[in-house]
Amino acid sequence: MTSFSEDTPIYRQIAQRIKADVLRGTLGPDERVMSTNELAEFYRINPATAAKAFQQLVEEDVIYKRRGIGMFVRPDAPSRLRREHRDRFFADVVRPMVVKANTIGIPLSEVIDRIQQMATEDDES
Amino acid sequence: MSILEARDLTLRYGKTTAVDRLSVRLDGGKIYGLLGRNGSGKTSLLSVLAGFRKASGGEALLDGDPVFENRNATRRICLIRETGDSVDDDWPYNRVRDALAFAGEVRPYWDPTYAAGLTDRFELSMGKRLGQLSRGQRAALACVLGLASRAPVTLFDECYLGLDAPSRYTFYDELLKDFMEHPRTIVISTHLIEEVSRLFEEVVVIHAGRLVVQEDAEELRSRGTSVIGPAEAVDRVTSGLVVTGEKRLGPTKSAMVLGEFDGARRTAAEEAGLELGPVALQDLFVHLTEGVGGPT
Amino acid sequence: MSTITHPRSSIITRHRVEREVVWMPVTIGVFALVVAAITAAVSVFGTVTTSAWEVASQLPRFYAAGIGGYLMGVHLPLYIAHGFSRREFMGQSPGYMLIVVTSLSLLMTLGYALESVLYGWLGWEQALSNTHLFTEPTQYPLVLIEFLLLHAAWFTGGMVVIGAFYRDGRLGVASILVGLAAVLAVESTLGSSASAPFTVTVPGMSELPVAQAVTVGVAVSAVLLAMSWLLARDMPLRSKKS
Repeated sequence: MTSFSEDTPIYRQIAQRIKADVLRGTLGPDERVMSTNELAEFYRINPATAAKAFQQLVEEDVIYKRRGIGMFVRPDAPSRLRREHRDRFFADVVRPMVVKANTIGIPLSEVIDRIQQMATEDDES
Repeated sequence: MSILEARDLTLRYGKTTAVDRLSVRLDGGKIYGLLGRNGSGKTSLLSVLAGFRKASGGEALLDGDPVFENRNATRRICLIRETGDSVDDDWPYNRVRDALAFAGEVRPYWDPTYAAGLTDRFELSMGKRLGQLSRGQRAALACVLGLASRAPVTLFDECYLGLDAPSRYTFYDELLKDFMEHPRTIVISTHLIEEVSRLFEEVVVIHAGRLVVQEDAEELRSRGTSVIGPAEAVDRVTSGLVVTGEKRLGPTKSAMVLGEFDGARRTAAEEAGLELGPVALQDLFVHLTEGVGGPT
Repeated sequence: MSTITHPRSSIITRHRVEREVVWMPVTIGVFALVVAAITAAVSVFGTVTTSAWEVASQLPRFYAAGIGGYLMGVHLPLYIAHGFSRREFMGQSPGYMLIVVTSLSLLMTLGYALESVLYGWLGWEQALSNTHLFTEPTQYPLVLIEFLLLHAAWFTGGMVVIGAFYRDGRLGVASILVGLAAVLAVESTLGSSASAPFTVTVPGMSELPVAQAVTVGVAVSAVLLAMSWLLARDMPLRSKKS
């Protein structure tokens, strides 16, 4: 059984997963996403929970409803999600790293050098 | 949709009070989880709601009408206990197929095709005598009887607990599928919530015969916050909130708080260097039901 | 979606007849064969001068009590669990009792008839050893009436005793006394005999005229039925241990 973290609402976790799929391109623009019932069956969750996940995604402009047909990925969703993640990347990942580097006393120039070094290593391999 | 309601419901066995002035209202068309520890009164509550027992006080109502001895209500309710309450003693008509045939004749919403399909899914053989079924097979039969009854109000009293893991998942799958095709009120009582909690739309927690909380399952999942840090700071930040559990280790204290841990408090907690974290539903349940004196 | 049919209360009687009463001729038939075999064995060693069926007829009353007891202890909870009301179920019980008691009594009366044919062939005397409502086993209407009264009392007695045990052990023990008293009263009115397996008779009630015996028998069964209703009307369903 697909596992969920027990301490966050499941619908948020599912919305997160669908967004990840959109970001990765697994779900393309204008592609139909699973129906509420399919989602409920797939994850073995209450259909109301599945519906809530969709509601959140509609509110966040990730998907849109077509009456009687289903839910589809908004064409602009991937780029918007990428932008959001980009913003969050700096807030969630880079900023704490800079703070930590400062606390330990690593000069930022050294950090930058290391990152560039890693990038070239990755390119070579 | 059928609305099932307990109003000030009390059930006593001699001097023991199993259900204590409990009021709860279950609106139709949802899957409910009835959570409580062993002996918390789950079975007693369901028994009164299904008309299996007469309330000692208060009322059990279906769509506003009393349930007890009211055929119009009871024929729409199906309470499934672990034993399935079937034709075991009706020799020689005590085989699995007889149990299904009997239910087909007395249950107004019964679907025989679905029942046969479920029997296959649970790998029950039609010709087996009920008395010879293993505990797991019995539980499976009970589940078949409950699902195929398609009763507008179906109550499962921990009946699936005797199933092995694969059969339990079969039960969950079938329950969800059939619920979506034939929406109705379903109540599943359990004390093992980790596995089933995701099936619930709403959760009712009872303890010592009393209602502790009734809430949307997803809301409940985000309702608990754990606060860890110096005792004095924890007390300051959590004052005025419902604290369901506390633990101390030297100068450090951890508290579990119910309800919104909103902006100002959150900032105060962070400034005081306290560690904030979410609480898993299972832990929340444990804390909600750790009443003084334990279960009766 | 299957069509929704609402089962009527009468389904309870129909079920019970289809699943229980239909077996009664088989049960009593096998019982009669056993009685015949024993009688044949006895005849090898001596002459048979009394009705074997009279002796044998002391047993089927337990069968009647058993069916009555089953009705309260097994079937009542079963049907309640499946959405019937106690009132509906108990409303069906007098009718069902009449069906069971009449079928059983007819079969037992038939037993006397067959015995008299058989004894006639063999040249044996079908004498009665005890007193009854009837003086000859061929007085079939009286034979039938005696069996009806007897089996009705035992059936309803079984209902009360098992119903009481279902509710509470101590109540059950107490109810045995009630059941015994009721059955003894009816048996006393019918004759010396009939009270087998008990040899006690209730003073002032022994060997009453037919009309009075019928009145007592009907009254006793009616009281027992009323008592079983009192036991059933808010009976809680026990959780059976699996």
